[in-house]
Amino acid sequence: MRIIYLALLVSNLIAANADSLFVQGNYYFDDEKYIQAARTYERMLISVEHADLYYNLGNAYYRMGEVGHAVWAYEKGLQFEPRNRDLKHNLEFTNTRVKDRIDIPEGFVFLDWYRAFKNSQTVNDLLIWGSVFLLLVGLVYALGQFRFLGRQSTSRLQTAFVIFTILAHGICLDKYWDVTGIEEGVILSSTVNVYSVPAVRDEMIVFKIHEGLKAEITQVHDNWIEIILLDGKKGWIPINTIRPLS
Amino acid sequence: MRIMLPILFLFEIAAGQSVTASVDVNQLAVNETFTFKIDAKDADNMPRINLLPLEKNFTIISGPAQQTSYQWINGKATSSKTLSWTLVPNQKGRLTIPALTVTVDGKKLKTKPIRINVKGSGQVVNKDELFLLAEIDQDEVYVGEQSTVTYKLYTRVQMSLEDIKYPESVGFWTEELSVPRPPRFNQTTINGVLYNVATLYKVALFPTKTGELELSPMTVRCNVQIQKKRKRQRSIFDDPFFNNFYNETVQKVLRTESRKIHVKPYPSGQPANFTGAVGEFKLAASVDTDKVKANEAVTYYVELQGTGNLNMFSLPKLDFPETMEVFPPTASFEQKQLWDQFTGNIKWEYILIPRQAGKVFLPRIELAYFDPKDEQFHSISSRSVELNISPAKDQLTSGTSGFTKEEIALLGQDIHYNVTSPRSWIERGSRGIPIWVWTSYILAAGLFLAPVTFTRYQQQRIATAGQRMSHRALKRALKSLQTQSSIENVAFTVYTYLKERWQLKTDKMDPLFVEQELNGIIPPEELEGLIQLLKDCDAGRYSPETMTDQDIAGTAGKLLKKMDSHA
Repeated sequence: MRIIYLALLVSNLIAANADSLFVQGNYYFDDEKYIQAARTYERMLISVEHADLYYNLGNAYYRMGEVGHAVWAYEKGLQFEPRNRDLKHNLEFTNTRVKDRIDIPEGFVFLDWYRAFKNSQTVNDLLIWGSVFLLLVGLVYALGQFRFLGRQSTSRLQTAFVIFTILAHGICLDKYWDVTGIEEGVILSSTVNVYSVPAVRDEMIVFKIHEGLKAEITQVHDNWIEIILLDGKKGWIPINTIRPLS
Repeated sequence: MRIMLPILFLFEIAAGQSVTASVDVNQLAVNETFTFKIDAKDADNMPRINLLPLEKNFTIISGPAQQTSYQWINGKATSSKTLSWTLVPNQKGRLTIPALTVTVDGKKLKTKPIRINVKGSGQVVNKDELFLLAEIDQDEVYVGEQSTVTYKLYTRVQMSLEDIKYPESVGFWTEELSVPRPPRFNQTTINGVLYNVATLYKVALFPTKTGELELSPMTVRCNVQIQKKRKRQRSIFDDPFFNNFYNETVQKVLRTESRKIHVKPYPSGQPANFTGAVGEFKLAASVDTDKVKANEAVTYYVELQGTGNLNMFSLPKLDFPETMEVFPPTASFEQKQLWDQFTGNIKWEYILIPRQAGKVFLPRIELAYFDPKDEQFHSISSRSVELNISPAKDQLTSGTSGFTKEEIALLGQDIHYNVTSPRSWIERGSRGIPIWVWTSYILAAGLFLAPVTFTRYQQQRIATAGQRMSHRALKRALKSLQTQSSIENVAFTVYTYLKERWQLKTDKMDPLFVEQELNGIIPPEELEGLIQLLKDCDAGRYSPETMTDQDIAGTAGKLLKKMDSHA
């Protein structure tokens, strides 16, 4: 009991501290002291998280001209609220200033729709969908048993809801694997040489990428990170040129 | 001296590099040239020399010429780097080439001063036989107004041009109008004297600042053929009828007099958008096609035509609509030849790619200029061009910039503003499954179990109905006795109790039947009491005086309580 109480106290303290820091950060932002604002928001991130916190942090970085950090913050915010309009707008807007334009190979239309849907939901969103459908299955079953519903409509409704339940949980599992299995990062340095080996060798430069580009991280080796771009290009970059999104 | 020499030698070695300055002649006349040489031994790079102190007394005609030479002395290689200039003295008298600072491979070394004796009477050709003249059409101009300078060579002697050093005046924007090569000579008379005249250089000067600006002189080196008498002693073979003269070539340097131009500032009333255009101008704007589709390129021409300092000012930056992609313009300048006034037209070509369909106005161009003729500021502008852009055939945007249509629409915007109020922060690492997901799962499980549970419950209720009734029999009976204690009620209550509690059949209820049924189940004295009570009730029903209602109800209560424990 005492431990719970203590934990509650600590969390209250953290929240109060975060509130004042947030107000302070916004004050710096309005004063056009974007560097201090970003620093304040980053300090908050040590203890707490929120989509809106990442949003403000991204705005501060954008105003500083740090496109890479801004993209990182917006992406991070979208992990929490993938349907946040402001976050989406600012990310899209910032992406117009990213030099690399990667053409994603066009895929199957339904697959793209599925991906788009998956990206617009968090794991918890999908869990809620699943649980609500399961609840409906239960409700229809109970109503059918008590003869409140006809035999036929019961079985139809029940089939539909069972399918939805399974779908929702399946997508949820897929999303969960995405979140835990795929590690991504955003490039911070204005220009980064991508090497075919984890070492600086001029003749081994495969291609160049620029600030703000999102890439998948596949391996880490000492101070080097292996990245793979959306179009399938692969290579090694120094670890300090990228900020992971996990 | 013997001791000194080795020391000197040592010093030389220690110094490593040495620099010497030399001239080819040091006795010469004004307008005669000489060569000035700087020799750096064992230098890796060409020496760098500051010639500024020299320019007071001498004019550089040409140079520097660079030369590197190697020498082998006693099997040892020495290299030297030489720079040489052709100089001409500016005045007569005893002149000195001052000590110059020479930087060789980062080291600073000094040369020795050299004396040069310049005689004034070295004149081989009369001044009015060969001279250079700079003609200025107007020597009082506004900033940016053209002043034309013509350099002409007048000659009455046989000569050939060797080298021309064109002037480079400071404080002017210079446009060459004509540089005839080779110069053409025409004949003209000045004060009845016949001259050959050639225009060497014609230049338009546009002053960039106010004040007295000096034109730098033009220097021309030429070879003049003069006839000289033989200075040989008369010999007996000489005959006055023989030609006693011979031709000699003499080098002569001509220089223009220094001239000044007075530059006036503009009168007041300068418009805000004035960028320095002086002269007379016309502006025109056009597009190459009026049928435009989105994502297809349009060329927007802006043409500036006129006379004046065309290259000295810039057009104001054009603000194109943000839905258009604009490539930096290419400018082409065309000068009208053989005009003394600097005239031409500049054509700018903007390539535009509209990204959205709709009506668009291309920006108007305005130019304010100063006309020195009427000494007033004028303003001209081109008409604004309207473009009707029809939608693109395919919705996909072309890949020139890599922007998608949505991104193009975004280009003119800004990021959205911050969230200002504090939120319910999520503590790091505390993210889990929300509570109502669990609630929902549990509820669903409940719903699945509900029908089964309910059916079972119902079945059990039915199965245990009698038992439950017998359990409650005593309570009901006691309650009934308390509320109504009439004899009839007591009898009815007791019978009902017996029926429910001991499951006796209802239809034949009399004390005899009760005794028969309960014999052996409850203790005999209690059975006896019960029978007595029932009999009393029966008796009391027909003769109410024997017992009070209260008594009989009380006895019944006590009796039933005792009995109940045996069931």
